[in-house]
Amino acid sequence: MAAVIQDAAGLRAGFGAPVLESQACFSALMRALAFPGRVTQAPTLAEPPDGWPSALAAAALTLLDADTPVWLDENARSPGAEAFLRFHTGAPFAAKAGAARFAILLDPRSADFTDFDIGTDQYPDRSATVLIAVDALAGGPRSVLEGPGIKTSQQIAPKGGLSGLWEAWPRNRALYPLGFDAFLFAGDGVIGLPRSVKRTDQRD
Amino acid sequence: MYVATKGGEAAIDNTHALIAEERRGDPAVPELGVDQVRQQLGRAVDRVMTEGALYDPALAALAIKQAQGDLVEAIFLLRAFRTTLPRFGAAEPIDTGAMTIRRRISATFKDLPGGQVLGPTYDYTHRLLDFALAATGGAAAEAPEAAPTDASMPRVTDLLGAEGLLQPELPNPDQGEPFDLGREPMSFPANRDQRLQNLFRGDEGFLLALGYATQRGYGRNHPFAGEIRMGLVEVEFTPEELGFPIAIGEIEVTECQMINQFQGAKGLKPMFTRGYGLAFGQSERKTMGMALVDRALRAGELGEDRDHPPQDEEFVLSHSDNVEASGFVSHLKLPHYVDFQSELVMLRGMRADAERIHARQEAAE
Amino acid sequence: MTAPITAGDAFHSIDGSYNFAYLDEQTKRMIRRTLLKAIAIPGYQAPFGGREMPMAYGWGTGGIQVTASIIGVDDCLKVIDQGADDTTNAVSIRRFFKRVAGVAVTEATAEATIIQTRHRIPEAPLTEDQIIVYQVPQPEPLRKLEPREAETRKMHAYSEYGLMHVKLYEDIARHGEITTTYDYPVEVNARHVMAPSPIPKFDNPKMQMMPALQLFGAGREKRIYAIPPYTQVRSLDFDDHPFAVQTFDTPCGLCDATGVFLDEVILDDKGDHMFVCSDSDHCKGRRQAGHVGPRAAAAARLGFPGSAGDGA
Repeated sequence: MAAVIQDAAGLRAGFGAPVLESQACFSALMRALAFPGRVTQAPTLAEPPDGWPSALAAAALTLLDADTPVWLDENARSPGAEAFLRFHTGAPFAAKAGAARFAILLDPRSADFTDFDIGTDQYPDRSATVLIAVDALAGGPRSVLEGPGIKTSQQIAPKGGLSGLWEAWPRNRALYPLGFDAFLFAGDGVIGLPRSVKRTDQRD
Repeated sequence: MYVATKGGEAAIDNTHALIAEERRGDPAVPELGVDQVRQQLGRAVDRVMTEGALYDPALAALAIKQAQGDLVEAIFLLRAFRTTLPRFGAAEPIDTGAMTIRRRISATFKDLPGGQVLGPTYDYTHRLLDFALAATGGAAAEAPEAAPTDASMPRVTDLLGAEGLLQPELPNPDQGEPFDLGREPMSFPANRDQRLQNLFRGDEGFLLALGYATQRGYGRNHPFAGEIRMGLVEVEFTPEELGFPIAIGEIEVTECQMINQFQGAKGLKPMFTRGYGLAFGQSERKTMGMALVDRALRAGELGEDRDHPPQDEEFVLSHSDNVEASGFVSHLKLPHYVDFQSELVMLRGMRADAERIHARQEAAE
Repeated sequence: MTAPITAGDAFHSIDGSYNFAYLDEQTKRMIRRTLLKAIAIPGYQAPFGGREMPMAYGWGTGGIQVTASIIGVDDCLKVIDQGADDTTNAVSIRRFFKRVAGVAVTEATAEATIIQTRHRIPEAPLTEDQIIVYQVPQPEPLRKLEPREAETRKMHAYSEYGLMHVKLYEDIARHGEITTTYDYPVEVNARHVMAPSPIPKFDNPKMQMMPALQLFGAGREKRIYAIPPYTQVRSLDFDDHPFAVQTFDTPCGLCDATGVFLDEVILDDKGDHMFVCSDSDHCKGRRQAGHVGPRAAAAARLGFPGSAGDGA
């Protein structure tokens, strides 16, 4: 049955073993957020939507459902990607970034990070989680992270148009305990950036 | 002599075997069938379905049998089962105005369109133990055929509403999907959909006592039983692919609309307001308690003083659920010796300090 | 850290009619999303749509839902109640997960990847590769001072913790010390005041900069909260009355351990009692390593669990 649908709509397959793989993927995401900056590995998805890192697509399958409006940036939006999310998660598409529980950015350069939901004074958890595709999780400009989950300091060097995110980060952090949380994805790898984390440029 | 208690697999297995044996009772007595519970203990089934939040008489009967008639335990069994069921969506609101009536009474009007229908009720039984029931195998009880009820049985509240004397209850156009207590936690202040779902599941005894308290002055309430109706209503569901509602079955419900005086405030004219009660099956006491408490909890919205527990939303809605309440009360049976040890250490220390101070004072004197 | 998927969905219906780890996938997703937010805001109580579990509220349903949402086929689970693996409810919960998730279980703290606990933190330091899940009866540290959620939620939102300080200070004024001995409030990440669950205050310092992720589940109250690894956790106190843990005058009667939390055991009706480790695995390990406590012989005569005279 699934194969027929796939053929008819060109729909990409989800997890082969959804129960166990979504657990493994969640475990990677949770660990990434608990130890900000450390790269964790999500289970590989054979055919993520075009242009999507496998880990980002896996995270979407793991976290999204009918209760979580999702917003896609221009680059993430395609009939294939939308069909993929609609079929596998049932998540409704939010018209505006601010109305989304999850945002998926394939091009973080074009994002306005002040758009995302930061939660409310009494419910700061009701905020957006931003899933960002990057070119690589290493080899880019170096940042230093400090905060909960980090023993002393943690160096990261993701590559791919993150200057806007880094510019927005001090403001996001100043809102604490409000704010959005972010994950960076490349290939199977994930880096978690909870709002609680302080980031500075690495100075040699 | 100290006897070491070592809880473990064996102890747990043994206790399960013991309750199974107790449940069955004397094997010389025929085993109770689930169908017997369903047919002959119908009011217990109704209560378990209502507070268990699942309309399934067969499973409710099974739960009652399994719990040896402990209804709070049976309610818990049904809830724990319910939570594992997939959710397909929300049904259309049931229309109690279109109910196939078995019982319908109004305390506010002597006669009304459709008339009063007494139906099955204990209200006028003399509470004398019926020793004939102690013998089994008697002939089936048969009631005379009821006269057919009128096809149209407008709700009393609709009749009053037409005159503008009763505050209308209209859907809130700003609200999207109704709250779903099965999936979302309570938050305060609660909207009425949250509150009514909570009260629907709420413990009958708790609501009865609170409702009673409002009658005795703990909560300004001047209730009239505007109408109580019981019977079958159709349940409709709109599948996304069809886009129009289809009937998926019938359920028996009891509805109580209490009519309450309202002096007028907050820019509202004096008029009657209502408290609402609904339950599965024949659950009149529950719906009346619920309607009284619902009205008491509207105090804030209607600009009335909130001085008494039945008007206190957090107090009522946080403590109404007997699955939560019995769980937390019974958890006191779990070992607490770590916390208790902490208290012991402190208490001994404080007593020692007090004695030292006392001794010093005595020495000084 | 990700486990390779080897078992396919073979465990999908391990007990016939229930999903892996009992909860349906939609519920797990909801809890997982809540867990991520809880980790991002250390010490903040995130509401979640808690489900009825097949155990009573108050008996660990919050912890069980958290564990069920994080556990995988390669995990190894330890469950303790009051520090001990053999208490009835710990046995019952361990058995539940064995049945519905088919996971390995252990009593050895060092072997566990997930430790579900009620009222204790193990004596052995936890590592980055472990997660500790606390069962929480009352997640709101301010609840005894202010029963209304509508009020306490505002207090957390605006960091209005004066009430808590007043309460602790009144204790000092009246009794000369803070009389809270368990569930002693902590301040997490210099922001949220949090209930550590009814662990003895003896365990509070273990939370400070713990390498393991700490997750808290309150089923009846429908709240989840978390402390990420390496997070500042300070027990509330005053400069002139610094926080101090309980101390015991005697070592463990069975294994001679000091600097651990001890349970008092009444041995007869003439007032004889002894103190033994609350952490049963810690005690066992020490006894196996040859440590002998001052009451070991008496305990063996009485057939005390874990002693040489224990028939089990």
